[in-house]
Amino acid sequence: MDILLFVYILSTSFIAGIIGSLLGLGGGIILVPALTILFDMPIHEAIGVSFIGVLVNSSSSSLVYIKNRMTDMRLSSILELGAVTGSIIGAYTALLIDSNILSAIFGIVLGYISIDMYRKLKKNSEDNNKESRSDDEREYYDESTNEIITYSVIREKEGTVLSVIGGIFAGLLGLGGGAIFVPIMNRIMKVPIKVAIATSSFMIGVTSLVGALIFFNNGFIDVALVSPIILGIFFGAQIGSRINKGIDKQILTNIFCLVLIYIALRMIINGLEIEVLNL
Amino acid sequence: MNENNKLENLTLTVIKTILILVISLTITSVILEVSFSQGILFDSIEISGMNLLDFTTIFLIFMIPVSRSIIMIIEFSKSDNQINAVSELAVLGIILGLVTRIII
Repeated sequence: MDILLFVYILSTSFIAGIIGSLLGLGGGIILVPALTILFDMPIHEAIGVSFIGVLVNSSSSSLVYIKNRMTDMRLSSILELGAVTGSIIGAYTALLIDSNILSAIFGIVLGYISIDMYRKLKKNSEDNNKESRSDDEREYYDESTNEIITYSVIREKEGTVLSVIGGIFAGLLGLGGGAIFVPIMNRIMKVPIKVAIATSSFMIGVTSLVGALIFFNNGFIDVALVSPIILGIFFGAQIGSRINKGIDKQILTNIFCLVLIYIALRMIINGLEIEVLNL
Repeated sequence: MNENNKLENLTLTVIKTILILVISLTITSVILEVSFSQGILFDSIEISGMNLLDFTTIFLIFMIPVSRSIIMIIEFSKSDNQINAVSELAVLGIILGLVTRIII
């Protein structure tokens, strides 16, 4: 592999790792558009290597979340079944879809995620699930308030069925699927947001593995790109999690919402093959 | 609570160990590639179209979710969380099915 290309991919993955970690995203949301737009890589190959990046990012962030006792492994084991099923459907569908259509779908989903992120920021959505109760009480340690929070999980069956949708998007687009898993857990199953993010991050490891295996089997993972992506994402995520506390998240999210919307439009335009004056 | 802690600690140890191995192998692979030694040392053994070092790295990355699934199945079974154990077993079955497809 050309050393210059190696450095470019490493830098892109590093930035994807930092942004992903700062905004609580998997990294695939930056990596896939960057590889297709900046490096002119076919979207199927970009999605293939993105799975590896997401897998590394998920494992790396899970280390922190498990250590802080925020991951609900019982909940994860239940939802993973639906998510993995969805991921298989999504990955095989992606292999059947034309790259232009896939690019347009990616753009639309990216647009939705960025608008949703902006809306959440505006609402300053606070955790309102600490009071939900059922017979099966669970707890997690909240570092910010220094207390143990008790919560319950409700509507497990509905959550499992809905996690299929998250899995489909994860497998289809090489994303983690957290943008769907977190709202399912938080809004429908009434899981506290911090637990939902930690559990989603843990689950993403399995959904991205399934996607990676399917894409690998079909020859869409370029092994030469794996090294820079692993190193970039891993060290980017580590730095992102360390500088997380010192950064004004509101300004950061505002800026990246605009960047993501621009990327989304580029992906849609690429997908629809619209000739626009050198956007 | 103790069972939960045991599961968390085991999972943490396994993920950490494999991740350290993956990062070390990747750095080694990059150093060898830059020093043009990789071809001499590893290209003679090829598995699934990859040299030994690349194959080991990818294999280890794939092993992270697999190994933590195995730990979860064992620990859930021990603590009588049968639904969780069966669900995780099904997930592991699907993953192994996909791996078998690649091998065959």
